[in-house]
Amino acid sequence: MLFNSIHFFLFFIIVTPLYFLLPHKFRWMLLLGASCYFYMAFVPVYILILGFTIVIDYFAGILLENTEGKKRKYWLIASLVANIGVLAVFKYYNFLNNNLSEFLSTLGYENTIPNLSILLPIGLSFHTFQAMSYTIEVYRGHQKAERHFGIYALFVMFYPQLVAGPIERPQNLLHQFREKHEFDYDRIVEGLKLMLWGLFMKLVVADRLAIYVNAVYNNADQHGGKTLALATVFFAFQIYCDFAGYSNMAIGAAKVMGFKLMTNFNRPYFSRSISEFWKRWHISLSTWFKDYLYISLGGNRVTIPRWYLNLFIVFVISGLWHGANWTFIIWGAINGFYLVFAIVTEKWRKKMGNFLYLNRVPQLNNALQIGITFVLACFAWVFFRANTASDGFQIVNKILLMGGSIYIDINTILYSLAGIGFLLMVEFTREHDHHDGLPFKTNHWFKEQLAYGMLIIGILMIGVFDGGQFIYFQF
Amino acid sequence: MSKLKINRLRIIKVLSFILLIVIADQITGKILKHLYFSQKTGQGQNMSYILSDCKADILIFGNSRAQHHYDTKIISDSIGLTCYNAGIDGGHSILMPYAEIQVILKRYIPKIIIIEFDPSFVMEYRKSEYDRFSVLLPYYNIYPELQPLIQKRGPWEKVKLLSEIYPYNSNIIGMIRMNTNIDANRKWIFNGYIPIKDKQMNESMINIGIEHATQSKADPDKIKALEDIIQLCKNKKVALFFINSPIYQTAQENNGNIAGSTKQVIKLLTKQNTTTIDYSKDPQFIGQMALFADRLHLNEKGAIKYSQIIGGLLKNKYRIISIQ
Repeated sequence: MLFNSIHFFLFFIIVTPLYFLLPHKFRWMLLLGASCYFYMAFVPVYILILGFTIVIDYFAGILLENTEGKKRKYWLIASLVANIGVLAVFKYYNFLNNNLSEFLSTLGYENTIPNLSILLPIGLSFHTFQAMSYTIEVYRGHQKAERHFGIYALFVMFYPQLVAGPIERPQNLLHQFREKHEFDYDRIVEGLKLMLWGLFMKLVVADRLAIYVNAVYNNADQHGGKTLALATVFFAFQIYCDFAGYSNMAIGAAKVMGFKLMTNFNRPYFSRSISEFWKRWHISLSTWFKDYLYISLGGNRVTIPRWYLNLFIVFVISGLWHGANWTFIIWGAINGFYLVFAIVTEKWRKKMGNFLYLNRVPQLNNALQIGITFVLACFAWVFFRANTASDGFQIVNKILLMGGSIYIDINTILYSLAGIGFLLMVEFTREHDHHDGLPFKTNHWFKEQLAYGMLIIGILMIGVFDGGQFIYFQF
Repeated sequence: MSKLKINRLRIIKVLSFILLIVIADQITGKILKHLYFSQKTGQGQNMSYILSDCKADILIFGNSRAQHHYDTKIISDSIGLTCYNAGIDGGHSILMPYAEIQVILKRYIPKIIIIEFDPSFVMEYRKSEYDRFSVLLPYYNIYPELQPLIQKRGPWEKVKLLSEIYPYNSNIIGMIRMNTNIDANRKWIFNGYIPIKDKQMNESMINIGIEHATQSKADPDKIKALEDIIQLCKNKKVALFFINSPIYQTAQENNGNIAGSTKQVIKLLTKQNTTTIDYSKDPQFIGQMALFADRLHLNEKGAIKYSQIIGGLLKNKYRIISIQ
């Protein structure tokens, strides 16, 4: 079920009042049932895969808590193997097998192992990572094992964040299912407004940009560098609005019912370095990798070369998390390279800044840093969006040559620019005022309602209602 | 303030917000409606004209190939009858002409209807095709004949249409352009025909736009629409022509293979004793890049040549010609 569908709208207006009408002790049942229905609206049978990991991790958590010594590690490994095993089969098997076939064919052999004809379950990487965070936290002693199977299942399946995050930690979410959430008018209105803003980002900005981006990137060989550069900039905003829009809707939907999910995006395109970008982009995943992989590898408390390697490994694996394709691995590697390069050149860049007197003009310095970070992020996005790695290299080559004329689809370009302009205006105001709450927050009731009313009218007027799924569902 | 008063105030706030949205939707919708129906040119104006005003003797329906291939002036001059090109850009199927013909035949009886027939016209459901029926949304409440087709866009289309703005969704920029003189260069459009000017196919375009139609199955809904069109035209005594205009092919490609879905339809059309003409492999167009803008579309030069052929054909024959 898509958040941007009438199906979800009906689902939401039935489930939410029921949630508040039911006595507290029955609410988890309602949410679990609703979450099952929500997930089964995609491909019903895949709930069995979800059920498999839930059962494994539920018992793993209890066993981890009840056991001491080396056995604890074995239970953790068993749980991780089960989770990663599911990912390996459904997400990476065909990719590995195809690469094996190519490798063997270069040696003159034939790979006779067949590919699997299966669809990737929606949001598999999200709920698998959330489930893994639970067993790791129980293993580390930061979280008590959940003894109530239904509550644990709900922790993995909570519908607002089931298919595209935020990837929650058990310490933040699990206890909330045991707390009674009262009907709070102000909180409900805030949640609904956040959902509306997310819907606007998705329908008005992301899906509009997708029209141009898809037309160009799916026929990259027929377009020149200028068109590809424009499409790449558009894609940068498309993926942001698609994913941040989803996250806002998820956080808003949970907030309506009294749940507080973690912030997933914090105006990433105002970052002044790639390092800052990753603290503002997909925060729930970045912190997951930091907490469970980067620190496990030794983080920065190792030799300098090993530190660089740790950073690089984390980003390559982060790329692979996104999809079983070389394009994502290259995208991750580019980001890893950026971070290592930034650390290596930090002193030199400071000296250069002083030499150019940039530190005396902080606004110019900030604008330059934001601009450079955006360009670097866009360069990496080329590989994220390209259909194949060779397409990605071809696109980069064309962009660098800047040849050809710009492909003009006047209506799409104008709507897209209007959407990006409005988004930047809202985000700039919030960034400038260090305002992390809802957009359009004022003390004037009428002005605020007018702003949200205009969002609804804007969606009806220029939202794309025939758009597709959320990009991140495929991960 | 007492709890009761606070709750009352909240209810008033919620209702005021809903009322604000409804009023804004109604007012904006009315403005958009006015803008839409006052367009001077463009697809919207073309559709309004076809459905409510056009009284041409010859009507041409179909997708972009119809729109760009049939020069209405040449055809009109050849046969001495008025002609209008109702082709719509964007790969529509037989369902779109079906809906339009139902509306038009209730209003007046043209002498000839030409449907640019393409194998993809009867292919199985493609979601993007139903999305394109959005061009009919402004007419939902005006022509009930269009409603079944519009409802194919999705199960919630009726609900969405409760909004006055929704029928004009994503049209605002186009409507402003078509209400002003920004698109003054569109004056060369004549009775719906839009030539592809200053564009010629080259070697790099040879492999672009090839659809492997041989693999496709015919959609029963579309076959039914085809049968209904034939019956409607028979009942109203309208001469109906299904014509497949030229597609760029080299001499080697011109091997006489016909797509599976095309064979099925040709069989049906032959059975119904309907005039079906296939120019897709016409020797006059084989290998002639100078006549094409791309593999699927004739440029202005090609359209002139092709329209002269069609004009001559209509003038001299009015009879069933089946090629292949």
